[in-house]
Amino acid sequence: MHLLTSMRLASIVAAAAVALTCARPPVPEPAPPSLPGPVPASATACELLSQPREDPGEITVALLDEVDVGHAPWPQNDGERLLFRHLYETLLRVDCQDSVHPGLAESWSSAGDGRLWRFTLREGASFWDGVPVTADHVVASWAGGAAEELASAAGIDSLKVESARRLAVYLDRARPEVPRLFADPEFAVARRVEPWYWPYGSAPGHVEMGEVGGEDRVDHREVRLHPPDAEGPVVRFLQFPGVDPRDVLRGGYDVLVTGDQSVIEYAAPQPTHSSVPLPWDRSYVLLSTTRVRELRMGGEPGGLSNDLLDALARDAVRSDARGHRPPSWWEDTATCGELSPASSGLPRIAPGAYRTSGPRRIVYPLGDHVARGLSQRIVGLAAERARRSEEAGALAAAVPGLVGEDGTLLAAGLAGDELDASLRYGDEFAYVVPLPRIVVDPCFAARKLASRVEWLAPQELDLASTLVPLVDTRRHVVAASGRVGLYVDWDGTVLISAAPAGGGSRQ
Amino acid sequence: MSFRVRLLFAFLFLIFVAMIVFAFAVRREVASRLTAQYERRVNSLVTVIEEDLEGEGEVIATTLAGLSDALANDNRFRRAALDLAAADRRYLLDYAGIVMRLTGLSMLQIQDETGRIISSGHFRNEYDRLEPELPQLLATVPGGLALARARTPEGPFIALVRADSVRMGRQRFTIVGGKAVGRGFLVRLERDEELHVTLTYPDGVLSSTGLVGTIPAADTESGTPVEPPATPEDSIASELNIPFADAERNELAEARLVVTHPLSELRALRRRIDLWFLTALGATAAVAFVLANWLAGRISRPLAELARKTSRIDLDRLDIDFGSRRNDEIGALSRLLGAMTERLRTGAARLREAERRATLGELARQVNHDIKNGLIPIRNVFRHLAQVARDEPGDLSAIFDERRRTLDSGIAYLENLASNYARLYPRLEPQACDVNAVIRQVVGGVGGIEGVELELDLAERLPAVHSDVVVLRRILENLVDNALDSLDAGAGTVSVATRLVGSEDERPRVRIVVADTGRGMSEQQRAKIFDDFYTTKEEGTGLGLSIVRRLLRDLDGTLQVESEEGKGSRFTVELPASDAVMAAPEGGSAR
Repeated sequence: MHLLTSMRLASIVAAAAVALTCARPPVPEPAPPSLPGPVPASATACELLSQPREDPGEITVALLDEVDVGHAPWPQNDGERLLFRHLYETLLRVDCQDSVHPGLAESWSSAGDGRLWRFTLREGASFWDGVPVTADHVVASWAGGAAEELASAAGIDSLKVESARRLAVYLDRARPEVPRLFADPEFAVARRVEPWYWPYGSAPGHVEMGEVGGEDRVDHREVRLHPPDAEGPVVRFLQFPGVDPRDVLRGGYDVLVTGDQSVIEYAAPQPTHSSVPLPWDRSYVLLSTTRVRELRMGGEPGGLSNDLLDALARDAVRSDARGHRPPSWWEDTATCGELSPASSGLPRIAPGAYRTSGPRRIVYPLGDHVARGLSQRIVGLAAERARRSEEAGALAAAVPGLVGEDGTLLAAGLAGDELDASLRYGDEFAYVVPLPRIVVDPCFAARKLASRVEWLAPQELDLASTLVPLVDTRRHVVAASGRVGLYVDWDGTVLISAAPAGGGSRQ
Repeated sequence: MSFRVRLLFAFLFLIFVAMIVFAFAVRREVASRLTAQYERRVNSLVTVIEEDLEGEGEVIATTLAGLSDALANDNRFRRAALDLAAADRRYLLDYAGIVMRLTGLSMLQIQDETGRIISSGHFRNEYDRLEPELPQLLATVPGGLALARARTPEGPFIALVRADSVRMGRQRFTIVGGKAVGRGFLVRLERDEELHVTLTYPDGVLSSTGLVGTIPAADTESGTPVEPPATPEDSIASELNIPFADAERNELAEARLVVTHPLSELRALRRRIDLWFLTALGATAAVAFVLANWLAGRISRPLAELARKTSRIDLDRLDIDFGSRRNDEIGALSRLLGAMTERLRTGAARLREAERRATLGELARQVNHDIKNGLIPIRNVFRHLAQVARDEPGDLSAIFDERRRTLDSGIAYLENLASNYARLYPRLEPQACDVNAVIRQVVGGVGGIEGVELELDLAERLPAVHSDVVVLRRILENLVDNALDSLDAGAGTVSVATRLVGSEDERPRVRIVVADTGRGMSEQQRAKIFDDFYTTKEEGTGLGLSIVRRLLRDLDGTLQVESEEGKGSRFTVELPASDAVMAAPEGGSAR
C-alpha cells in the first residue's frame, strides 16, 4: 500500500522533536550485545541455486510487473519487491530461517527493559552519490511514508537522533529481543532527492538507473547494479509488464519469478533453465462482513475443511496453490496488546453491513487471478442454493448469508484506492484478498491489517476467527542453469548472490 | 364592422380554410404512407430475423456436432471425465473455456448424465453444479433452439442455445452451447438503425437501444404475474415468439422478440409540417392584413369621400364637385353622382323658375284681387258722387263729406297694400355684417316677455358674413318671431346660437341656429312652410319664411328645418363667412 502524506511526515518529525525535548531521562546505555556475525549465504539453507564457478559477466533479471519509481523504497508488487530488496537497506536483516543479521545498522543495544533500542549505523555506509548515511537520514526516510500509521503499527513511541550514526528508538512496550520489524521493507532507508526520481539507497555497489523524464544512457525501465569492487557480474533489472513470461524466457534472460502455472509448466522441461519453487509466501483469505457481524452477536460460524480448501486450491485457481495450512501469523497476536490504530477517528466496525443497493458482491483485487478464481468459485457454490452441495453447505456455515439468500451474488474486481476504500468501510458482502503468509512481526502485520480493514474489530474479535483463510500460494523462480546463484529472503523474496544485497553479507 | 375589417376577415377566412384543408390532407397522406412503409419494413425485418435465428441455430448445431466428435476422440478428456484422473482435472475444467473461445461460442457447458456440470466455458468455476433442467427443457423444444438464462461470475446473460450429446463409455455427456444475446446481438439483427429490436423474456428485458432491465418477479403473495413492458404506442411493432428454457423455474416459457419502428420520424415530420403551416399561416395573415389595408384604402376611402360629398347635397347646395379621374367603378359612381347632382341642379333651377312663375301668377292674381277689393269701394263712392253730382249737385259736398271716409279708407288700404308688396323683395346692399351684433339687436328688440326664456349661445371671434344688415335683421326677426309665436301659452324657451363650421378644404360658414320649445310642426306643415302666403297664424301673411328663404338664397346661404310636433322646431341658417373677424362680444349669452 502506497501511503505518502506530508501530514504524517510532519507528525512523526514532531514526535521526534517532542522526544528530544520532553522525553523521559535518557536511560544509561547498556553494554552492546554480541553481534550476529555475517552468515555466508552459501552455507545457509536459504540457498536456492548455488553460485556458479565462472563469472557470467552480466545477469539479466526480468521483472514481470510495472515498477513505479514513486513507490520506492516501499514495494507494492512482486517486481518492485525483488528490485527494491537489492537497492535499499533496512537496519536489520532477517534471513529465511528467521535469524537476525546486521543491515544498515552494524550493532544495536537495548535499555529500559527493552523499551529503548539504540542502533549504530554501519561505518562507511553511504548513499550511491557518496553522501554518508546518518541517523537523521533514517528518521527522515521513515517519515517519508505514512509515518503516523507506521509508528502506531510498529509500536514506536518516539525517535531520538543521538549522533550521526546512532539512533534511539523508544517503544510503547518492552521488547526482550531486537524488534524484527526493522527488517521490514516499510522501514527501508532511502534519501529522496527530488520527487518522482529514484531515491538514493545505501546498498553497496554502484547503481545506475534511468530517471523518469531524463535522458540518461540507461533506459528508465532498466536498473543496473554494479558490484562494489568492480569484480563480479553486473545485474540488470529489466521490466516486461504485460509481456508473456514465456516469451521473456525465450529472450534469454537469466532470472524470472512467476506464479503463473502455465509458465512454470513451460519452463520445467527446458534444459537451459531451472525452476525452483519459493516458499508459500501468500495466503488468500475471505473477509466477510456477515461473519464478523455473526461473531459480534455471539455466533460461532464454522470454518472450512481441509478437503474443501484443497479442492479450491486444486480446481478454482490456476496457480501453484494449496489449501491453507496453519500456522498463520494472525493466530499469534494475543500478546500484541492494542491492535486497532488509536489515531484513527473512524469506527472500529462499519455501522451497517454490505451495500444496501445493487447485487451482493464478492470483491477481489483487480488483476489478481488467484483471488478472482476463488471469488468466482464462491459465487459458483453460492448458486447451489436449491440443491446444496457439501461444499456449499460448508461455505454457508462459514459465511452467513452466502448460500440460500435471495438476490444475485456476483464477483467483482476493484482496483487500488477503490478497493482500499471499500475494505476500510466494509461496504461489500465479502472480500477475497491476499495477505503475506510470512511476516517478521505478527503484531506489526496485525495492526496494519486492522488499520486497513477496520470493521474486523480486532480488539473485540480474534483475528483467527474473523479471517477465513482459503489457499496459500507460492511463486517459482526460473533461472538460467549455471549462470546465477540465488537465495531466498525471509519473506520469500529472491536474492541474487552476485548482488551484494543486505550489506554484502552473502558475497 | 368596417369594410377594411370585413375585407381582412374575408381574406383570412378564405386563405385559412384552404391552408388548413391542405395541411390536414398533407399530414394525413404522409402519416398513411409512412405508417404503411414502416409496417412493411418491420414485418420484413421480423422475417429476416427469423431466418437469422435459424441460421444461428444451425451454426451452433454444427459447432456442437463438431465438438461432440472431438470429445469422443479426446483421450485426455475421456480420462478426466470417466476415470476422474486427477492429473487431467485441470484440463477438464479448462476444456469448455478453451473450446468456447476457439469456436466462437459465448456459452458452453458439458454435463454428465446426472446433470452435473463438469466443464463450463462461460463460468469456469461453476463446475460440479447440478443443472439438468436446461438440457431437459431444450429436448422438448421443437427444433431444439431456445433462449436460456446463463450466468458468469460477473452477472447473468441471455443466450441462444441448443444441446447435443456425446457418448463415452457407458455415460452420455450433454453439451449445451450457444451465443450470447446481448445488445450487440440485437443491434446486428436490426440492420437498420431506424428499427429497434427488444427482447422480453421472463423477468427481464433487453433492447438494442441499450435498455437493459429486470422485470420484477411475480408477486409471491398475490401470485399476480407482472406484465412485461408493453410495446410503445408511438411505434409500429411486430413480434416473434421464441422458446425460453427457464431452468430456474424448470419450465418452458416464451420470449418475445419485438421489432419496432418508432414513429418519432413521423412525429418530427408532422411537427415540421405544422411548423411550416403555421409559418405560412402567419405570413399569409400578414400579407392579408397588408393587402386588406391596401385594398380597403383603395376602395373604402373614395367611397367615404363620396359619402361625405353626398351628405352635403341639398336643393340649396347642389354645387358639390364629384369629378374623378378614376376609371374604375368608383370613378363611374362618382361621375354618376356628379351627373345626378347636375340634373338636380337643373331640376332645382327649373323648379325655382316654375315656382317663381307660379308665385308671380299667384301674386298677380292676389294683387288683382286686392286692388279690385281696394278699388271697389272707391269706385262705388265715385259712382255715388257722380250720381249725386248729376242728380243732386247740391248735396255733393255733403255726400262727399259723408263718403270721404270711405275713400280715405280705400286709399289707405291700397297704400298699405302697396307697402306690403314692396316688402316682398327688398333691395340688397351687401357688406360685412357682425352676425352676433345683429342677433343681440333682434333679441334686444323683443324685450322681456313674461314666461319666455331667451337664450343666446354666441361663438367668440366669429367671422363676419357678407350680407345686408337690414336683410340679415329681417331674416333673424322672422325666425325669432316665429319661434316666439310657436310657444304655447306664450311660455317656453327660445335659443339663438352661432358657430363657425366648415372643413379645411371648403369656405367657412357661420351657422345660426334658432330653436324653440314650442308646438312644432307636422310633416305636412313642414312641407308647406316655405310656400308664399302659407301660414298657421291667425294674423299671419304667409310670406315670412318664404321671404327668408328667398333672401338667404340671394345671400348664398342655406336654411334647414328640423321639427317635431309638440316638442319644438329648429331652424339652421348657414351663411358664407367673410375674411373679417368680428370682435368677441361681451358676455356669451343673454336671456
